[in-house]
Amino acid sequence: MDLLSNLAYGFSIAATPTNLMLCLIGALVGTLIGVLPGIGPIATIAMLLPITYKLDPTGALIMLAGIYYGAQYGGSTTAILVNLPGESSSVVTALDGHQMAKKGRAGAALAIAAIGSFIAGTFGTILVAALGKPLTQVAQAFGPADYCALMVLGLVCAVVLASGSVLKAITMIFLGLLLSTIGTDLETGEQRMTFGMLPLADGIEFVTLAMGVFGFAEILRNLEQKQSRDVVEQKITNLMPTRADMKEAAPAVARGTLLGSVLGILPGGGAVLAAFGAYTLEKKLSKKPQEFGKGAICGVAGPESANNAAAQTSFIPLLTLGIPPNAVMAIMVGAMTIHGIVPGPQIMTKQPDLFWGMIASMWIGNLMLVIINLPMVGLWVRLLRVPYRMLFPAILIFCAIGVYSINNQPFDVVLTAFFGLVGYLLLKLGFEPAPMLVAFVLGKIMEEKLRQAMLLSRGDPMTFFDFSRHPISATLMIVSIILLIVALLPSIRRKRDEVFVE
Amino acid sequence: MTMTKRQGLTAAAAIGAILALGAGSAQAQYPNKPVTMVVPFAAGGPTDVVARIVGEHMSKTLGQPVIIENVAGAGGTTGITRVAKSAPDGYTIAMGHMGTHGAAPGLYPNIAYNPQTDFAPIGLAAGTPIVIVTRKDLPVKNLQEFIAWAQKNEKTINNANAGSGSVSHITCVLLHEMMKIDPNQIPYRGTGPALTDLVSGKVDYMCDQIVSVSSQVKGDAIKALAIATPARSPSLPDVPTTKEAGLPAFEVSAWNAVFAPKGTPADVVAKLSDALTKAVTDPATKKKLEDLGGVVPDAKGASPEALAALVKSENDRWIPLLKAKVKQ
Amino acid sequence: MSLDARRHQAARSPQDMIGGIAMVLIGVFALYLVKDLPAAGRVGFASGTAPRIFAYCLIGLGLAVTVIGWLKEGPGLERLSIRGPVAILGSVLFFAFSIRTLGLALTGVPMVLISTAAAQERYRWKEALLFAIGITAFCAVLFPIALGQPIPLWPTFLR
Repeated sequence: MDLLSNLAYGFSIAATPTNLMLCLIGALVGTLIGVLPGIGPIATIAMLLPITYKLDPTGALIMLAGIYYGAQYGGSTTAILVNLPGESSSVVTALDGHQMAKKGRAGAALAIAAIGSFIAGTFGTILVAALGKPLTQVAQAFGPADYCALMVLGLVCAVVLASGSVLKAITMIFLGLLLSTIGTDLETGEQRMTFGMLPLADGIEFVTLAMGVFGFAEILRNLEQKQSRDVVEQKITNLMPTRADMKEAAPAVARGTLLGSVLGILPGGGAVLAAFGAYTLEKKLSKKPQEFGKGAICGVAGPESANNAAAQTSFIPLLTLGIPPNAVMAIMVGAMTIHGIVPGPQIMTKQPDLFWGMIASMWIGNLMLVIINLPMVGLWVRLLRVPYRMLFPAILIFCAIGVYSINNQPFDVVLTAFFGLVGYLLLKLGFEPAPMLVAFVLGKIMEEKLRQAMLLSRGDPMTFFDFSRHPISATLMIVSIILLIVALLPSIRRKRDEVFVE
Repeated sequence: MTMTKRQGLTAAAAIGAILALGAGSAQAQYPNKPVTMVVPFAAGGPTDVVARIVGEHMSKTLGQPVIIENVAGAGGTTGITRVAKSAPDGYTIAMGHMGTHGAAPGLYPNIAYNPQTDFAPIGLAAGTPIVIVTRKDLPVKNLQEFIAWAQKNEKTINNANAGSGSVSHITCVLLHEMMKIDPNQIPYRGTGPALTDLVSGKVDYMCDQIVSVSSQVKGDAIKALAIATPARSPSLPDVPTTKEAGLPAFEVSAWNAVFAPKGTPADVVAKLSDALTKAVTDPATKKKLEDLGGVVPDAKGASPEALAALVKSENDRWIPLLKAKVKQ
Repeated sequence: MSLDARRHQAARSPQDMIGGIAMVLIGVFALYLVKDLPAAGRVGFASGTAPRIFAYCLIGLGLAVTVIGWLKEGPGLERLSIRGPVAILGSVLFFAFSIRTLGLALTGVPMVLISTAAAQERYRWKEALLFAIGITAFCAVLFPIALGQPIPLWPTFLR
């Protein structure tokens, strides 16, 4: 009952005409920057901060939150249409989403992504409102050893992202892990594999790697294939998903929502795992795993739902402890502090209008995104009819500007071109980039957490298996080992080949 | 993403018109175009917030917008290097920091600038006190008990920091030096994750800027033992100073200050200094900075001369200590 | 540049052979780069530990891919084209090297023109030029002006 009255209070704050307008503007700007490859929410929110000085704190935060969700939606659109993932979660969406687009089903992919995200967003919002405080305890239970074990489990699952050879997928995972270690060592400040170059001191930007090996390599491959140059080879079929599509995708949406909600709570990289954890789950549970990687609708619906559910629940550490779990939320904290509010454990009691207004606006933001995006599906799909000889230079210049704007660093653009060449060669050698990208993201967190766990245990590697002190870590490690053995045991090899390989 | 030919032509005509306008602008009195203030850290962090608050007021005095540009990387040295190498015309300035201008030469042997000779100091914007915080169930009540506890349990305690070279890292290096201990230091990627593990009790203590920890202290998620400034802070009035708590030598603050590249004309420096002084002495701006726990300088403290002296004394303090204690 | 599979009769899958060898080389190069970093510290892990483990695993896996490519039937090498990569990557490099000095206004048009040369069909220079001007103007309005991104719009001599 308390929850309902609190939510009603929240809606009374968020649903004022001004705040609704701000939410709409945020969602629109977010969608725009999300669709543009490379330009991320971080750069945009930072540039828009001065505008929010003039607003009251609640309104400012509602607008910034709108940008955050909008950027996520928009990012999936680009991933589906032109195979350009702007952030780690869209890598997974690109896998099957872009294949659907190539088969003329871009409309269905975009629509299911929007619908799935909305359902997941609604569930996530209710979860944050109802169980925010107790769920903080879940996040608190995870220490460095547990996060490290979670990343190991994620890496074991990352093999499933490949649709070709398992051995080559594992090879790409280790290449991604190796790339993730480039940069300044967190503990000692030593330079690792940076060739003494200052721009590499903070490691490789995810966007430069992803734009290169996915986006540029895709352009190079498309230009080679004379006949099928245009993105859409076949006639575009109906824009909306069919009844059969919906029936097929519904359980995937439900599973993705649950998985994403749980993983999103964990501030140390849980949200990263949400999208492709859901993909792995869907591929394993599917009756037609051979369709994954070739345009399976569940391969879009599951990860997109998980991704958005995690985006909601990742607000929990911020709202209950005042600790931002990622860079976007760090900027939101900055925005609050400029307004004189230092978010912390007391925000719920001391600033109830801010707290409940935010939560209500989360849902309103999600609703607006569906309203904005569903009618736009037709527009986006029409974009694919643009002749490829015009589409690819446009993609190139957008990517170049986007990558440049991450750090205002021309070197990042050079690096993207280099990774474009690498991605092209990898394609030619039959290596798939998706496991590499995922390992790159997980590897950074894994090494950090591993080092912390080893420091805390004074160098005892058995700390990961210590059931009495780290039960979560021990459980996750054992599950990982079992999965690995199952994958490698020759007796069940044939069965696994059916699951993992086509 | 694409446009028809006609739209393209219209746009081309428009861009031509804008080009002509840009070329037409003559050299007038400084400033005749927006001033870019480079913040060498990510948006939303303590330095960024100070820069935005001060920059907003400075643009009123200068009559031109002060645009914040975040150029993060390599402990802030990427952005500062950019400013050191940019044209000394007053249109590119930096919000420097205790790390980038005080400690960096001791941490980064290949640093591409000298904090004392490559800049025209403009003035101090704010000092952010450092607070010693512990997990809430640590069995100590005050700083003296903490020192005794830490010295006794040197081998088993865990100190968290926000990564090599961060403010929380180097200030605790100084603290350890004064407590004569060398405990286990756990690096995190930023203050957020370190604070998360401190709140849940997985690490024992850390040193960090008051703005990053004050709300967790007020919410009883962690305990504050002492604040490393001469006076107590209005945002945490119950926390004693290090002097009161018995460790007067540990007086340290993560200050933020504005710098222009070396060779900036004296009249430009004077205009920038005037704008900064007006900003920090403006009651509204001052209050905003103080609400964050900042210590705001008076007109004299915000002068270029005071900043030059501060940079020198900070260099003398940090460089030998960090060269000896932090392995690179 | 095209390596004909028939000339590599001994290897059943030249693609995997070359790919595996490439991974081994990357691993060896990484080991060379981290040779000065400590391999182990006081708690087991040091700055050089993780890169070494990953590099050794990459070398091992690369060898496995090579051996399997030697033994098992698989695809041959595909043709590598030159024109596409040179034009595309060249245009991106041009952007990187001129954006700071020439600004978006003078970088966008040549960049689009260079990249358009990657398309194998007859070069329609009039269309390409109009399109290049249009898209550059569009980006100029969108990024520095509408979104406020700190991208230099004008060349340094006009600023």
